[in-house]
Amino acid sequence: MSTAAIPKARYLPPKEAGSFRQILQLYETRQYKKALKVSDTILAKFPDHGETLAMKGLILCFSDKKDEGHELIKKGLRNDLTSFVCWHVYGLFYRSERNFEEAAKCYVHALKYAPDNTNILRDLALLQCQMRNWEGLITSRKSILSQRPNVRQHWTGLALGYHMAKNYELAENILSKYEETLKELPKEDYEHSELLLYKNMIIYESGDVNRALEHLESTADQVTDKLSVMEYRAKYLLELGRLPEAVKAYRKLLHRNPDNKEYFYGIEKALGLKDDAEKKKTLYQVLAKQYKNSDPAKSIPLSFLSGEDFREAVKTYIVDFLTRGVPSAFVNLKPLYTNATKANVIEEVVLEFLKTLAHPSNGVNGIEKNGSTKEKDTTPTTYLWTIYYLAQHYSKIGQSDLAFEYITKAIEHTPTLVEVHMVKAKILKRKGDHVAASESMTTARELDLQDRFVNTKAAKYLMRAGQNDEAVNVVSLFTKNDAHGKGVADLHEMQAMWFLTEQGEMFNRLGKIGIALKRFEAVKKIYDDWWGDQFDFHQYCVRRGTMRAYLGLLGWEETLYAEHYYTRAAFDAIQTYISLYDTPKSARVAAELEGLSEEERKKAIKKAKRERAKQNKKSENEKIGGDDDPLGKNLENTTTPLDIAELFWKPIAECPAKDPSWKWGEEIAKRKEQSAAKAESEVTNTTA
Amino acid sequence: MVPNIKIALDDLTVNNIGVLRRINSVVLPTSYSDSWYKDSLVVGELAKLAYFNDIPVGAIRCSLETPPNHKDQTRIYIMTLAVLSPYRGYGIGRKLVDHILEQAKKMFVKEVYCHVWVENEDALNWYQHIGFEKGDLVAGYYKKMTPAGDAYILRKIL
Repeated sequence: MSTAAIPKARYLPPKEAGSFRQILQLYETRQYKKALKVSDTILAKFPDHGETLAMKGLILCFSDKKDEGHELIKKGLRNDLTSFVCWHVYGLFYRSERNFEEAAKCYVHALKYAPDNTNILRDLALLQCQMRNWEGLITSRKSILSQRPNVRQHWTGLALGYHMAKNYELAENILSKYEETLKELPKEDYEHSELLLYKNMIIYESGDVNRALEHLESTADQVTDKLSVMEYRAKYLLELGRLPEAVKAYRKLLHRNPDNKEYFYGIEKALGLKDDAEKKKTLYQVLAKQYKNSDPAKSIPLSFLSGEDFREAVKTYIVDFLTRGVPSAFVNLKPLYTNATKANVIEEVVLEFLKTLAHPSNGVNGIEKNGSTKEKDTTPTTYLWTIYYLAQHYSKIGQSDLAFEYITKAIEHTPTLVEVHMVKAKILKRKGDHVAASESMTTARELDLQDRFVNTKAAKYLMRAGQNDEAVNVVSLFTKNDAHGKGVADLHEMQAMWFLTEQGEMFNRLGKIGIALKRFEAVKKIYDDWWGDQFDFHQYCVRRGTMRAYLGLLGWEETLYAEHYYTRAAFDAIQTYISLYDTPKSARVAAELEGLSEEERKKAIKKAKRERAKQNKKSENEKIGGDDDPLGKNLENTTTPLDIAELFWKPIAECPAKDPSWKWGEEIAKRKEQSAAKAESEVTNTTA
Repeated sequence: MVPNIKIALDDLTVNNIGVLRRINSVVLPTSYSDSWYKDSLVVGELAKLAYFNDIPVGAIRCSLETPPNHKDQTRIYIMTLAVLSPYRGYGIGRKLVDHILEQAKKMFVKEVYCHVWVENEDALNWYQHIGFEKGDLVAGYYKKMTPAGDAYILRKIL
C-alpha cells in the first residue's frame, strides 16, 4: 500500500507510525502495560487517531477494563470507518465475548478494506467453523491457500471445508495435491499418518468403499495407527462382502482385544449368522473357550439365546458372579430386564441357586458348619451376594416389598457392607420415602468416608429429602472449600452438573424459585462454555493434523444440547419460567393469603418478612464469587420469563440430536402469542 | 466347588471407624462412647479390622496398660473382639488375637488378657482353645447387667 492511499485522519508521521507498529508487537507478546503507555504517547499528539484508540481499547479489554475498552474500540471505529485494523479489533472484541456472529460480521467488513490479510482471513475461517458456515469457510480457505500454499494446515483446512460441505471429490483432490507438493514422503510421521487416514475417511464417506480399501492398503505402511488400519480394513471387507477375509480380519482384532463387543458382532456378520441363534451359540461357545477372560464372549449370547439355552447360559454367568462376589453382577444383567421372560428366568435361577447355599435359614448354623455340609457352598459371602442380587432384582421389577425383605436380610447378615445400605436406600427412594432413603445412604457413607461415590450419593439423597445444609456439608468433604467451609462455589467451578441440577430441583420443591433458577442458569452456562470451548480446536486440530479427533469433537458438539443434564436443567427452568408467567407474583401472593382473616394475613406477611431477612443473611454464605444476586431474586422477578425460557429452549431446538417429543417450544410460543394479543388489545383499549 | 476365601487384616482409620462402631454395636451387648471410638484411632496396631473376601467382618480393639508403679508388668488388655456371626469359624478371631500377641512380643509385653462373661461358654472355650488360661472370677464386673454379671479373667502369658 502506498502512503498516498492512506486517508488523512489515519496518517501518522514516521515516528508515531513506528510507535503504532510497536503497539501491535507488544499486543502480540501480551505486554499490555507497555502497549498502553505507547498508545498514550500517540494519543497525546493525535487524540482522534482511530486505529490507536481501537488498539488501546482492545488492550484495556484484556486488562480487566472491558467497559472502558469497549467504548474506546467503538470510538476508534467511528473515527476511521474504513480501517481494517479497527474492524479487526472490533471482531476480536466480539470473539472474546463469544459473540461469534457479530465477530464474523466485523471480519467481513475488515476484509473489504484488506482483502488479502491472512490474519483476518484465518480468524474469519475459525469463526466459520464455529458457526458451521462451510461455504464461507471454503471461500476463506481458498484465499489463504493461494497465499500460503507451502503450509500443510492450509490444505487440510480447505479439504475440511469441502468435506463438510459433502463435496468429497474436491476434498480428496485437495489432499492429493498437497501430497504431490511433498518432495519425499515422511516415514513414521504421526501427522502425515493422520492426514492419510483422514483422506481415507473422506474416500470411504464418498461411498466408494472399494477405493477406500485400496487406498488403505496402499498407504498402510506409512500409517502409525495400526489398530485403526485393522479396524477400517475389517469394516471395509465386510461392507464389500469379502466375507472370508473379513472373518480373518475380525479374528485378528479379537486376538488383540477380546473385550471389544464390536469385533464379536463383526465376526457374526462376516459369518452371516445374523438370525441363526443355534449357529451363533456354537460360535460363542468356541470363542468363550478360546478367550476365557472375555466378558462379551459370555454376555453377548444372553441377548439372543432363549428357552433352555438361555436358562443354562444365564445360570453359569450369574452363579460365577455370585460365587466370586462381583458387586456389579446386577448392573451387567440389567439390560436383559427389558425382556420380562428373561427377567423371570433370572429370578428362578437365582432363587434355585439360593436354595443350594448353606445358611442359617436353610438349617445350617454358621458356627457348626465345619464338617457336615461339605457339598454345599458354605461361603457366607456367596449367600450375601445372592440375596443382595435378589433385592436389586425385585426392586427393578417393581416388587418393592420383596426387595425390602431381601435387603433387610442382607443387612442383618453383613451390616458392614457399604453396598447393601446403598441398595436399601435406592429401594426406599423408589418407594418415595426420601427421608428414610437418605438415612440409609448416610449409614453407607459412614462405613467408608473416603469413598467419593457414596459421598456423592449421600449428598444427592439428602437433597432429595430437602436437607440442603446437611447435603452441602457432606459434599463439601470432597471439595475445595470457601471461607465458610462450603464447596458450592467449587462445584460450580468443577462443573458438577449432578449437584447443580439436584440442588436446583430441591430449591424448586422448597419454593425457593430464585436460587433454583440460579442453578439451572449455571448448568446452561456450563454447556455454553463447552460450546464455546471448541473454538480453540478449529485452529489447533487443523494445525496439528489431528483431523479424525477433530471430526469426533464436531460430532459430539452436535449432540451437546440434547444431553441429559442440559435438557433436565433446561426443562426445569422452562417449566418454572412458564409458571412465573402463568401466575404472576401478585397472584401468587394473593393466593397464599386467600381465605385468611385480617389478623392471620398480617401474621403471614410478617412471617414472610422475617424469612426474607433470614434468607438475606444466609445468602452471605451462599455467595459465589462476586455475584451480587446469589439468591436469584432478579431471575425470579423477571418481567420477561418467556424470553428467558426461550433462551433455554433455542439451543435444544437447533440441536440435531433432539428428541422430537420435546414440546416446550410450542408451550412457550403459545404463551408468547397470547401475551402479544393481550398487549395489542390493551393498546387498542387505551387508544379507544 | 472350592470356595475362594481370603482373610486379611487392615488398619483402623478415621475413614473406616464407622465399621468398628457397626460391628461392635451388632455383636456386643455393651455400647461404647464416642470418646472411646476416638481413642481407638490412637492405639496404632492394637486396633485392627478383619476382612473376609474384602468385606470388613471383624474387629479387635485393645489398650496398653502401663502400671502406675514399677513393680507391676505392662499388659495388653483386649477391650473388644467381635466377628459378625455368619463369619465365625473361619479363624478370623484367632487371626486378630494372633496379631495382638505378635505386637505384644514386639513390645516386650508379657501378658495379654481380657474379661469374659461367666455365662458365655462359647467364648470361654474359645479363648482356652487358643491358649488362654482361665484366671480369677471378678464378681459383678458387668455392672450394667441386671443382676450384675460376673466375669472370668482370661490371660495369656508370653
